Amino acid sequence: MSRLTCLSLLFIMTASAVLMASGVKSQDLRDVRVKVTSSGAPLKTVLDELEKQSGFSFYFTEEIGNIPGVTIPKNAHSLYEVLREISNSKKLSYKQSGWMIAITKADVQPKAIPAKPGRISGRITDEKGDPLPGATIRVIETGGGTQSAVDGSYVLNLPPGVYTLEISYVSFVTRQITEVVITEGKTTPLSITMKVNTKGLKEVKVTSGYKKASIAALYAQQQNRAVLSDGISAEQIGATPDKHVGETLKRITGVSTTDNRKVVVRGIAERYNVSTLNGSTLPSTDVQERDFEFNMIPTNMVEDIVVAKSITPDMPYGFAGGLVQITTKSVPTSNFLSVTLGTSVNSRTVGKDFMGYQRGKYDYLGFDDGGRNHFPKGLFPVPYDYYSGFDPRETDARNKIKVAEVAEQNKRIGGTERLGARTYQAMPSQNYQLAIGRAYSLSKTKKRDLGFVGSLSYRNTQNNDYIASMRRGSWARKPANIDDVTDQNTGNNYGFTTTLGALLNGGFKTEKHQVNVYNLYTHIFDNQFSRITGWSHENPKDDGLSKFPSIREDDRPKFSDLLQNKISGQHRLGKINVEWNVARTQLNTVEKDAVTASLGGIEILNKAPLYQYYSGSAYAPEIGGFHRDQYVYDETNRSAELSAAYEFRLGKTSHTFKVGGNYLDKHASFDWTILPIVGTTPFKDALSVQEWGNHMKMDDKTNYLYYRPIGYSLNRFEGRSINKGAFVMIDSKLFDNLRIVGGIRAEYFRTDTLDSNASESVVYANMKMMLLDSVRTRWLPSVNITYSPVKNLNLRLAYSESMIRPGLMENSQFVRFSPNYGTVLRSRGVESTRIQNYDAKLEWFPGAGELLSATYFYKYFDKPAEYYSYDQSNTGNYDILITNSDWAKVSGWEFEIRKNLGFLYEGVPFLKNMFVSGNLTIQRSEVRSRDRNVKTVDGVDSVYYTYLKYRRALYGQIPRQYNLGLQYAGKKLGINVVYNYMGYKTFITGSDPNMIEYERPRGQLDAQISYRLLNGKMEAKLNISNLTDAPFRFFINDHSTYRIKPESEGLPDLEWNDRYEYQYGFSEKFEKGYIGTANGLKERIGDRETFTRYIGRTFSFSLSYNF
Amino acid sequence: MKKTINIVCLLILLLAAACKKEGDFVVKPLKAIEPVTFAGGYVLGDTLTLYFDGVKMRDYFGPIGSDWETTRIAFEEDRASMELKRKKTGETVYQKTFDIKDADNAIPKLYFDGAKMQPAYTYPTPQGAEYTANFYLDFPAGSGTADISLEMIEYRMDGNTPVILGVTSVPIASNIQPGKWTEYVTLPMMPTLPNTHPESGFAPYICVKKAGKNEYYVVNKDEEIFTTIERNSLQLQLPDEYTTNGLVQSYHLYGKTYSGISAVISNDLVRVFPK
Repeated sequence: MSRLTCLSLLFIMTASAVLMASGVKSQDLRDVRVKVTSSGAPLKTVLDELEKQSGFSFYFTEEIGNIPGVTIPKNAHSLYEVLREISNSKKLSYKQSGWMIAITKADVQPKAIPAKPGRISGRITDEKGDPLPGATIRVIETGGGTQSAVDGSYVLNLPPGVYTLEISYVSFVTRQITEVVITEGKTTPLSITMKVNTKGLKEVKVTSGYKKASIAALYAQQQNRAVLSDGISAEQIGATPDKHVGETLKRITGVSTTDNRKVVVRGIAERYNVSTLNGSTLPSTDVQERDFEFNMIPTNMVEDIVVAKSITPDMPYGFAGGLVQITTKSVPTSNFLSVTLGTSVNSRTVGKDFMGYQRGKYDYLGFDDGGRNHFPKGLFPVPYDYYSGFDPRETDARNKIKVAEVAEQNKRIGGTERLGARTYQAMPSQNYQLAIGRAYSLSKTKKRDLGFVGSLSYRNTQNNDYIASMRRGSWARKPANIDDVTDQNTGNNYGFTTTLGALLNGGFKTEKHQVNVYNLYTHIFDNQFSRITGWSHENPKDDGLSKFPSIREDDRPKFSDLLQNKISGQHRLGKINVEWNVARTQLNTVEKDAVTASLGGIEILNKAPLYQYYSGSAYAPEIGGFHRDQYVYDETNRSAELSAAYEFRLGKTSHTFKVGGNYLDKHASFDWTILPIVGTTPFKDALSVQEWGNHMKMDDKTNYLYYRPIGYSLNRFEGRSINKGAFVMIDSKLFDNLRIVGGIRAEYFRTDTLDSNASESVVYANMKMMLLDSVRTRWLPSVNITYSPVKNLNLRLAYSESMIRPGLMENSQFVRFSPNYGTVLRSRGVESTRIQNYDAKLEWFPGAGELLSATYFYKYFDKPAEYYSYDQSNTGNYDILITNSDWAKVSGWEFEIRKNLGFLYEGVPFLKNMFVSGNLTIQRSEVRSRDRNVKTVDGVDSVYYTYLKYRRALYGQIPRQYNLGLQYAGKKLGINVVYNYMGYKTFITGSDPNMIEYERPRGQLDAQISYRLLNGKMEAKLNISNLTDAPFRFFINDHSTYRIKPESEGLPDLEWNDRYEYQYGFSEKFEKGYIGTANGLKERIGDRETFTRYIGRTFSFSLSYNF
Repeated sequence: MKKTINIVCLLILLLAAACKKEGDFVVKPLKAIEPVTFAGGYVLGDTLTLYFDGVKMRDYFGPIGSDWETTRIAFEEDRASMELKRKKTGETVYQKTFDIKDADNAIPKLYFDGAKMQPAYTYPTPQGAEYTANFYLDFPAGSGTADISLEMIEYRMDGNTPVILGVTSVPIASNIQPGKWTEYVTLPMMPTLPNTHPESGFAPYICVKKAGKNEYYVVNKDEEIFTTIERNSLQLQLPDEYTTNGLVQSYHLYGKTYSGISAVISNDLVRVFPK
């Protein structure tokens, strides 16, 4: 039994013992669960039944026993509640002594055992978020109530039960909130947004359920924001199967995701979107691509996610698609303690073999046990030539680096026991969370509130993605023989992920001041193991040496730590409102003992094929097909923001004048250690890869096997960027229905590459980066106009300019093979992108939690950066590189609806709990591409561009996407069905259709059923995601689908559109085509399916218990 | 509630207990890779499937070459057991066990005649200067009987394109039944024919045709006539005026399709099993 098993066992036993012991020892009548079936019978019968169920003995006189008609209400579940009911209704009293209970007549007026009250608290605000002091909160069932305080907050003490609250305020629409559950000793949070009554003094009531009120609050915020935004609340997130934010984002209008990790807003790819956590930017989690992987944030820590799509000058960070603002739970309005346990199974994972390299003892806990430590300090490069390094063909005397030195370095690096794929049994995913919230009021007369929220979570997931087809990058594009069904490139990607999360947020607020602290720590061990079996483009299948497919393995165990600490303040100083925050965000990722390995299949008598790991060749200068690597990335972001807003009135108009500034310092370093294993005989016969380390003593000159790092494989990058901004803006509310927010922002940006070196290949090591950013300060104007011709209806117009700055690593020469792309990913130097954004939106909020909206947007990108496939040497082997195009234009429409079905027929209460929701995004884009050329004049290189005449779609663009949802939110039962559809997407672009890769449309159907038990204390959820097992499918318009235009024959230097045209029946969309003949051989005439991945169906079950 | 918590704890316990650090190696470690001598052989009339330790390795039909891949044997355990089974019946027609300790692992030459394993293919000794040949037509049932004839094709070149001027056919064997060896037939001399055009030449082909018809045995769609002839021809040697020594040839004829193109494949078993 492993140490992990022992630890888990110890933990579980301890937890079980504690939990069980609390029930056995206490004799607490509140803990004794009983169910009375003899209600209405004489008391003796009822007590006999209680005796049997509880183990307690009852003592009473015959007279008492004969008391007839003892009725027990159905909501009495504990012995305490039953006895309390009997005592009250029959004027009796009882006394407990150990396991004995004596029932006697009450001598005096019986004292009812007081039920411990629950509380309900929250804040009453108007539509603009301003507090409404003195609002009346009335409890319909009791007739009692209270009034809100100066800051709009209120607290009501109530006995446990289900209530309806009515909130009223002069000249506001009175609201009724039904199904508000009050639990004994607990506080139920409920903040309400009130709407101005446009019908004068005539009273209008709007009734909504508790859940709906929380969603309505989000919509109210959306309605009152100066900018265009869409969002999703904790309540809505809770009604989906989503475990992390990456899964949730695609539910928001105009937002889609790549691999459930990277966010695309309005079809604009991840590098044009900015993510903030509690208002502070998040670093890029991918070293080579500018994006944040949202799977790092569990949904259970999230309060809401709002995606802003237009810009105001006080927004410190430029974006083009959207600003994804994630807010974690902060100061609670009530105390809570909840425990959640969950498990899930995936149809393509559980019960199947699960491959990976040797695991560490603590992988399930998310930490390395030291088994991956093979990267000591002080390693020296071993160039393959004798005059600067070590040539195995030469004598020791001629080699600069001696055999003994190489052997000593091999010994320091260590053995190869961990290497080589193993098969494990895939386990169901498991997750646990403990969350606590406490709220304290430090004064009875003044507002002095203090509170904190803490959360600890653990999750382990194992996913086996089946790659049904891999024909990307260096892999063979087509089968060599169309009839050969075995000529397939397939594989799996195994993901083993352990996530530990901790959150501690707190705050203190008075009437005029508020200070909050946010602390988030996430530790992830993410081990992605990719194993692809197939034939390469260079060596297609044949009957000779390429009879059997080769195998490529990439094992990438990555340990990431994300720590964000932030303190923010808000102070009201007369008419001036001051806001400030200081934050530090640190990301550390260590990819430890990442291994790239190649296996060749040879045929011997009794093995066809016999697969063996191949070392690289000691005589070839490149890194080769077998290396073990370590990549350490550290990024620290320090930011500060300060703003002051002055409110004033001019006649009947109110205005806010705001000035402020921000500072963001990003510093990143990236160190890589790539240790190729090379040999003089690449195939080691019967020697297993685990034994290689035992044969690295360099004592057999005919068969050397050694680690051969090269200069560029022991290298680093370091960069720093400074972003400073200052703004001035005015927010004017004119004529009660017109709001104009506008201003200008000055932004200074400077990035310095402190150290940059290439990797992987001597070819790339010799490449130069071309950096063209020279303008450091930009002036960025913006204006947002909101016009409300009638209440609940907004017409919005917005214009803004923004800058997208290159990520720190985007100007690095670092090059690395990506198993996903099937080729290397590199940069050719990226400059800043300036974007002009135009937006128009019509939004209508017909009722609580209801929304109808339509948006038109247009964007102009100056020098957009895109991912290109680029065939530099025209060999058919292409790289993926990031570089700038000349310009791009993107325009489109967004529509959203969320509507209660109660209006269909009022006689069916069921319909009042049902909502339909949907959103649709339609857009188009065009890009002017350019080819970069270098000319040398008088020995000096200079860059010039040639521009392509024909336009194409922007990288990452999705022309059509929509979400549909049907939700039933009952008192106990909840059902939610959601369908997400994404149309064609430009995955990788290129100057030639034969290089542009698209993702085919995909729809995903998810469902959830939830049920509340034990008076709402426990909630059970069953989620099913990807019900139809929809695959991710990619394709390229193959050359067989188009032909040369006859009139272009003989004309040089033509663009694709001048040279070619699609054949009849083919277009840019996916057409599978038919089997035809080309060059005398059968061949598919149709689009080439480059990559197909199945992720399976996931069934998850969770239980949450609120103490 | 207590019961629920206990069940959940039990589930977690089971999950934790199932965690394994070591998995099973995907590429199994080998004890040794040893040389082996496999003399090759020939299979006709059925396909033989080679199994090692119950695992299917490859199919044999036609020539079994003593190729590089058959010169080594891997030992995961101390012993490796080989079996050759008929594809049609599953019957084991040959078996052998190899031991890691054996200094010399060898498989003799094998000949499967369609019914059982023989030590070698046997044929008569050539007589005088006579050329004789027999044939084994090994096509799927329903493919029909075949004739073999010498086709003397007279052609001239029109630019780079050959133009056929005429075909003279000399029968060699007729009505060959599939699934059995024919009797030996005496092969005719290569004829000398007069040219009908000053720039013409002759191309001789020994072709397989459908019995009693002027149709090639295997025809692919939209194919040049010369390509069709080549796909239906065999390298049968005919005597000529300079021939002094006799020759025996035994041709196994079967079909093969690759990338949608079919052709007749022919192998002379006399060369596979020289005396």
